[in-house]
Amino acid sequence: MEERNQGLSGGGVRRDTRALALRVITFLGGIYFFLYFITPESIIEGTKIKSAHEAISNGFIAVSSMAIGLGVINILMAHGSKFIFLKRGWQYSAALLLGLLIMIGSTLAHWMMTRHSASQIRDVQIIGDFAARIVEDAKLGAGNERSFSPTGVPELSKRVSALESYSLRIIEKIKAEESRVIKIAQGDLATTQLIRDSEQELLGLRESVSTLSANQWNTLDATNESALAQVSQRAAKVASSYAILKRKENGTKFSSRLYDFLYDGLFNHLGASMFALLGVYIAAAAYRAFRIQTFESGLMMAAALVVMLGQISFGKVIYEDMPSIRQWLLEVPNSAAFRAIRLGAGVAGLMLAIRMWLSIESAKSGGDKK
Amino acid sequence: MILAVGAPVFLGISRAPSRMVSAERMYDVMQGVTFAPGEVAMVWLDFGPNTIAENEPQAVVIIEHLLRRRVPVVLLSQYQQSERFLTRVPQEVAQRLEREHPGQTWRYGEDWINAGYKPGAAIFIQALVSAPDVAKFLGRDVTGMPIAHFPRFAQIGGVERVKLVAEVTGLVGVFDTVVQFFQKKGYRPTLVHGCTSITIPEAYIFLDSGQLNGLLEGIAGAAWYSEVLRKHFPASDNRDLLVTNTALSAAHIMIILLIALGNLIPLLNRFKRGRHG
Repeated sequence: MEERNQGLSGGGVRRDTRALALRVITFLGGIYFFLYFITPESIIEGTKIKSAHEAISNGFIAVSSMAIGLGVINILMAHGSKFIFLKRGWQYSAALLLGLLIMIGSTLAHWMMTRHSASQIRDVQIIGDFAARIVEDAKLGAGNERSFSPTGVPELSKRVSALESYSLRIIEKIKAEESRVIKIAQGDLATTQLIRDSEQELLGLRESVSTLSANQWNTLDATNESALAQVSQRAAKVASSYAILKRKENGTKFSSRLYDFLYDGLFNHLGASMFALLGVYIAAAAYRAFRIQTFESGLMMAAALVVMLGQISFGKVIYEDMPSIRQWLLEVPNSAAFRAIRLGAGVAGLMLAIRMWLSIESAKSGGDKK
Repeated sequence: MILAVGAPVFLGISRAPSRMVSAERMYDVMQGVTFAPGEVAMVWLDFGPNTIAENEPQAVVIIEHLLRRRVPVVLLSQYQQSERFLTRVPQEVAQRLEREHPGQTWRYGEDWINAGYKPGAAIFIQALVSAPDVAKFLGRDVTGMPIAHFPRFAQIGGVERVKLVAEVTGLVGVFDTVVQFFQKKGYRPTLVHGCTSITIPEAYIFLDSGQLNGLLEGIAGAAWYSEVLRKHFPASDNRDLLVTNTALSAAHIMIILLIALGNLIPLLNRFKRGRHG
């Protein structure tokens, strides 16, 4: 039994096979980016890898993004079991899980709301894009590459008619939404002004769209082209104003306000407060630990004093040229020393990276067990 | 310590900031970059709430300068926690500029877009640099709108049209990734950086070697930059920033005094013991 179990991990896969697979995948992943970086561009273009590079990179990014999912699963497992089995400290696990679920829910709701708004804004942008495309296709002529029917794109008059009906539908929809936003604005002068400007722009777009039916659409002459160009420009302005109105409207919705409260109100401020605690530790360390006991520590303290005084407005009160001395200290001795440190750290980092790439760093991937 | 930092904030005390040569040079660099139609600036906001005190003012002054110049700005980040800053900072700057210049507007989609958080760090930057069309590569903005549908940003084309890259961060390793990988043969953008005070010594080596063209040294750098902006645009309001800088200055003085006390008191005790013993 012991002999059979030796070398086996869960699922019956031999441990050394798993280690080999990990090594091979790690090596291949590393060598691809290394070779892509050092290979001359002419050779890359010749092998046609350049066109695939974006997709390969996105694939790697997608894989690394799975770490977020792994993190969430880990939290759920670790704290979920504590909560379910009421182990010691289960209340804290419950609080963590509740916070996690509320934040995920709020972010999802906020995201869905913004995506919905984006698709509505896109509906408006399509008016301008369609008008521009009609002009482009008419200039290219029937049977051009973009056509989806054997005889080419639909007749110019049909397309203009479709543009007109679509535009009028969208204009009505925006008008209905504006009346809703007016109620939400309730005395907010900036929003009220924005709505007035948007109404003017909508009127302008409606006028431009209405003139389309007054023209003859057998061919694209200068008048027709000018009319479509005007529709395109005005539609772009309407889309821009509409986007601002949607954002303002979204800002009043519950999901948006909850997200703002959780992120700006809690997360940002709590994070900043936690970091601010460092200030207290620094103050305590300044009094208790920063002692000048040797010549070198004295030198370091003097340099630190000059740099600190040179950075603040009181430094000039003590000595006029303090900022210049600070500048010299940072540009000359500091740069020299830090360059040496970074070079050393870079070489050490390179060695570590090579060891990880060749999988000789970790025992689990078959590396040095010592 | 709380009194030292709190007093300027609560009483609204502000003093003129110390002159920061690197911030002055950065202003000249940013003012000197020319942008043809279709060319953009890319601003990476890679900071979270922990370094908000230093990095957010830096982001504000950089974005303010670019928006004043009407340079199209693409905002993005390698750090998840910066998501709100990508939305909030340019909006607040735009609103302030609109108050300063009634009749003029700064609009999302025309003056700036928010491409959001982009995972992948070095892999993402490498792929961005080698992409033939940056707008297509970035895909959609945070609202889900395809970036190619914003006229001023649809014409970007290759990364060579990103003339200026600004990296605002307090994180270790993030700025290095931009320096290393945001370049290719025949192309290197003008690179400016907003760092926290603790990473100033490290940033100077890049400034000295020319890999970095401009540097904002913590909040002191942002404060001096805002003063330079105010010199050129007198209506610019930087009171809050100066108050924060003054509070920081007071904290510095406090630390210096505590260090001095911490060294003097044992020395005095030793002297007393020497006399008695």
